Amino acid sequence: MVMRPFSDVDLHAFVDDQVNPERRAMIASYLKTAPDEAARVESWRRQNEAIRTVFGSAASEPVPLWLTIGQVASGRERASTRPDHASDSKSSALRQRISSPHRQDWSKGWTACACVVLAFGTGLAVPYAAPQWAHAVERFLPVSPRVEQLHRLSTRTAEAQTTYGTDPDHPVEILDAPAGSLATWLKRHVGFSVRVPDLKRAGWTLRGGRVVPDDAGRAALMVYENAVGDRLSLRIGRINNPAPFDTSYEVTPGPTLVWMDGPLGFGIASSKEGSWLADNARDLYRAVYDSPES
Amino acid sequence: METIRDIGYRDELARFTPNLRRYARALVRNHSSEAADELVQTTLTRALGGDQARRGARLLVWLVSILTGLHREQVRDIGAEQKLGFGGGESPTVGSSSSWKSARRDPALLSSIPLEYREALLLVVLENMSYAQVAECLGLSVTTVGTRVARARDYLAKAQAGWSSDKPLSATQGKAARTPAPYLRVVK
Repeated sequence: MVMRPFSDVDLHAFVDDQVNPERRAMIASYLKTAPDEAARVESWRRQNEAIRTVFGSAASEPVPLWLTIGQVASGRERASTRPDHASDSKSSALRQRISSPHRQDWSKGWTACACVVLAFGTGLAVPYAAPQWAHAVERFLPVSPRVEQLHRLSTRTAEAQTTYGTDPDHPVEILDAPAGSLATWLKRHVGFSVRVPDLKRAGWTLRGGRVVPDDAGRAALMVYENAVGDRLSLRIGRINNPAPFDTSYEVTPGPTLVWMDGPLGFGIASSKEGSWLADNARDLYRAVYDSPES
Repeated sequence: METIRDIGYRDELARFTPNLRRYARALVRNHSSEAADELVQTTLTRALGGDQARRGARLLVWLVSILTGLHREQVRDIGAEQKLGFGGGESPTVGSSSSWKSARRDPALLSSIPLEYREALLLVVLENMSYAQVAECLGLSVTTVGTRVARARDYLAKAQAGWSSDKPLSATQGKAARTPAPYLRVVK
């Protein structure tokens, strides 16, 4: 048997890019002369690819609101004032569940209570145990419907932007020509009135719109483009059991800009990088309301 | 109450949250996103109470070591992975319907790799860490990391071999392994 110049450990390190360029070149040229070894190395490379294919995207999903640092931190502060704060030492899974993040949103103060009281008081018996957050109930936790809804909006908006908004050639089904026709078309297809804002003053030209899936029914997506070809998507869909009065916006990791207004949920995502959306959230939010109808 | 230093630290934690989620998702049983996110949440909670001097790559290494420890603790507590690979390493039973189901939940067959080896492999492959960084995360020597990665691949190869001789999935599995569809490769 011929002595192998490189051990398995060397070959694994080669696949994982852990060797210096010089050694890398040596191993690469050795593999050209050893087809069996090359095949093994190739199979490991494919394993890596498979793992990255299956799990890689988990890092680009929008981070749920309850996992954002501000939320985790306020949950932690509350936990540390609780007398039964023993969970840091030997934490069982159950105890972690109990000291979970969702709790804090109820304790956010009087506004939440007031809303509930008001809703019941005015006869709007809001069925807060609606199915869309039933899975959270399974986790034994009261979840603020607002957080849950904003999270859904964020996910849906990010999906729509990734699926359609970034398509180079066909981001939309329908162009807005003649001007104003898009709103009519969207209304017919999604079943509610959609105001198509003109964002030209903010530098965004309307490309057109399309119908996108929603949890129940359909939502409208409007795609805008700026002079250098960046894209911006505005998604408008229905909200079940809207939280009354709260139209404030949130920027969620993803990033998306989301808010609710009565029965409608709004989401904005853009192909622009980094903190652009967070920096311009206020202006965009206002532009959607202030701008003339397209 | 919040100092500038706090805020910078929080930004760093937020920056690494997606990495932690990805690693946790691949690590936990059945790749449940809920279980994974709970691990991430506990990790972040601990990190907020910890030493805020670490930044950048060193912070990530520290976060990963917290998460790995928490996960091991859970596995021990629940005993859930007694069969699914903690120390043992079980290749799916070829051809049975239960193995088919478990493969649907575990498309990359990761549960066929014992936990200690899986941790090392995932950090190298998914988080693009150097062996030295992984060694720091897991409290091992660099050589041991190399060995664990190699062992992990052996287990995975065995499980894949079991699959490719299995009728119902062989066609798709084999194809996927040979030519990973480029549009599926959303990495980072």
